[in-house]
Amino acid sequence: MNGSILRALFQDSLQQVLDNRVFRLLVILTIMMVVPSFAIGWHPDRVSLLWIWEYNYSDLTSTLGVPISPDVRPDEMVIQSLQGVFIEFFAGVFGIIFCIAATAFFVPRMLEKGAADTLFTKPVSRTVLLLMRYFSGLLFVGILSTVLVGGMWAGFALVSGYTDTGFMWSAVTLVYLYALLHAFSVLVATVTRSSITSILLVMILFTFSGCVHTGWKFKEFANDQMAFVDLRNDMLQGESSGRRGRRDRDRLDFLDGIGVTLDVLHYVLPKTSDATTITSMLRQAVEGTGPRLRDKDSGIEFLYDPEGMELQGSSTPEFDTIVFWTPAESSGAASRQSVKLMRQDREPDAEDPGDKRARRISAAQAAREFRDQQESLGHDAEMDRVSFRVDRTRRRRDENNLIAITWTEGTELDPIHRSRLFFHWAEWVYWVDFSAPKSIMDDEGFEDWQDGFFRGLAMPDQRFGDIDEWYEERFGWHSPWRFNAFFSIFSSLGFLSVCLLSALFRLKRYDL
Amino acid sequence: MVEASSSQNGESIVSVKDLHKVFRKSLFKRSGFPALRGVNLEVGRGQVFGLLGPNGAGKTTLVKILLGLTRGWTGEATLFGKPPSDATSRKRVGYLPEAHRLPPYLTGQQVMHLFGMMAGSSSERVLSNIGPLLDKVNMTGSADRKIREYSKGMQQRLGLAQALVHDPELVILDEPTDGVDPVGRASIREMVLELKERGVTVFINSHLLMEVEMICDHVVIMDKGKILVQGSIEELTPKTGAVEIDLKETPEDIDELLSGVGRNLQVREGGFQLELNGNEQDQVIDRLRDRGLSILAITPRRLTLEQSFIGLIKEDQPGERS
Repeated sequence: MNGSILRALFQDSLQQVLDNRVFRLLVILTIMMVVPSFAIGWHPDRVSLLWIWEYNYSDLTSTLGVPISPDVRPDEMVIQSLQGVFIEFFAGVFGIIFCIAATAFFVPRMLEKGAADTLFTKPVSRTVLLLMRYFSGLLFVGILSTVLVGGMWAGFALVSGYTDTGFMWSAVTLVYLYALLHAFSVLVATVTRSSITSILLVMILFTFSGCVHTGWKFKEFANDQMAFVDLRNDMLQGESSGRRGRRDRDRLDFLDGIGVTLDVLHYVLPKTSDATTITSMLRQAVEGTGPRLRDKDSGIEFLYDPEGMELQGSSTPEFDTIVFWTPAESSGAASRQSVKLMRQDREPDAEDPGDKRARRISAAQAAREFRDQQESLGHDAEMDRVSFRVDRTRRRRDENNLIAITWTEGTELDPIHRSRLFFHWAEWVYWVDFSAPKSIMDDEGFEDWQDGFFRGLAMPDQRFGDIDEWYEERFGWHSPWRFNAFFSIFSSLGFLSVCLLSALFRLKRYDL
Repeated sequence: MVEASSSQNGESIVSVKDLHKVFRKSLFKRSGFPALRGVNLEVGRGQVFGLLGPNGAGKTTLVKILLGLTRGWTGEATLFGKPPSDATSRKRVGYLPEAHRLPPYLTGQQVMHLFGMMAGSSSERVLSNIGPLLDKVNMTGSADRKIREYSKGMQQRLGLAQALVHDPELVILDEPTDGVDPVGRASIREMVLELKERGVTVFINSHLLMEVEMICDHVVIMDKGKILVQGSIEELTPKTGAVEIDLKETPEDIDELLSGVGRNLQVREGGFQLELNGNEQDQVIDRLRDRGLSILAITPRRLTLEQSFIGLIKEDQPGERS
């Protein structure tokens, strides 16, 4: 096959896409979705419409009756919400369904009597002809995705000044999601030569794989909770209750069959539901918005460094027990700032293993002990309970209590702010020491400095919380294979390959 | 079994030996409908080869086997000396299938360009051929319209043009004049004869016997998956013994004038037709000349290809066709 043939096949694919009426309609709809990103500018302090009219967020939110928290940047929040709605909802669900319906006839039309005779007598293998029809579908969605994602990105960048390179990954994952379903569509179309059957079966697969995936997540979530309950029973009530708990679980053995079925279906079917999670992971990777620091034991994450500070001695975003930040500037008073993070087991004393819960220390206990210690040293230490708003998944914010002990050290000429903030999570108590000369930071500035750092504190999800968040926390590039993103992608691509190979097998045996 | 051999200069473009093809009724049944039953065929370079036969005779199956579109046959079939599955031999073939469908999303010009390139020709070569070919099939004015806007005849003419756009050495035409108006048919005939002059081998599969008779120099008649007869047009259209005589003026007493000579006299304006034996033609001429009549033309009558064809099919299927 020479270059001339390849060029002809590509041009044929392109013409097939460009001539498609649904494609043209979708292009118009896509442009309609992109236009607002050029027409409306979302700025930190105001909203501009067509570069002429300007409104304050407070005006808009009072009209809508939705308050905006002072802790969030409204422009980023709105833009990210719009990106989510247009990409994940409109394009990721409705757009994909439209595209599947619009491209389902590509293969049946090629196999129509008269059309196949003309094409199959050209010196091009049937394999290439089928793959080019598959490619036509990818081109169809690729153009639309590029227009949508690229257009929105350009609009937000030019008008709102919001650049988000990782957002471009959304176009790739839309094509990826479509590619999985289109491969199945090509297989059905090759076997049945019917576009209607192809559309129906793809819709069934799309829905069914979504249900299987949700069911599988629920099963894994339930197993996780049961393991946690067993462990908790063993710890709190001894061996006998643990055995009783396991006996209770025996009653659930009848569900094992369903569990195995879910496992098999989940591993075999394309994991279309993972596409959104993979997109956000890819965005994080591109933007570098992953956590700055992660405690692999507890799952606690710090998203940012303290302002003006650099993380020391940690080439990986995970830590065991202690972490230091040092000033980015190595001269002047600012060079005397420091931040230190430590962790302590809440059950340090193993003398009385039968009464574990009673001895677990809390952040408040640890803080009180520390305050007493400081006062014994002659420092006038203040203790405050501070409700910091902390990020959990950077989508939902939640309250968490920190106990802050603050005091002043140094000389009268050179006083130094000092503070230690305590919080506990699961089996550990954490504390963070802040230190900064008062000459470079007043009291308010010192509080803001700490506040800024704790805004990036992300707690792991609660044990009995939302399944989707539970899954997102486990899903990752380095997770165990069941929750591994690479496994999700490669097993889905395996499904895609099997579909295409089966379609080729059938096509090569066609008698026209 | 009749062997159809028409290789004139020794080079065989198409060769078929003892070709069998059975369409199975289902995947698990070995028996089925025999579409081809031991077909032998040779087509030489530069010939215009006609393949005739009633519906279901196996003509299209034979063509599809040659082009690698149908599998599961036995025997031997080669195109340019290579098996039908060989893609390189298909580069040298132009094919117009019966009831073909061209991509409706392309214009006529694009079909010619892309299909020519898909056949392995360079873009430049294809582009240089498009204009003259579109002219020949009277499609220049419609070249920029989408195929979906074309009538059946226009699609047929464009289909023929696309089969020729990459300068093939063998052109296989399956019902090329189907749906084409008389003017279009005439231009298609002209194109076929032009191809013949250029040394291109043309393989025509058609029901339209008159056209085959007009343009083919070798014909095979098939029925029920086997070849009934083959030969040149002259061989397949023997003389009937009747003579057609054109006169400047036909006398009213022509019956009396020719009494006792020939049989089945049919008088018409400007002449007559008469069945003659041996030297009866001389006697007729003598009598006409003795009367002083001016003879414009004497034409021996032949069977038409259609008459031969119907006769053969009736012989092959006694009682099935009236």
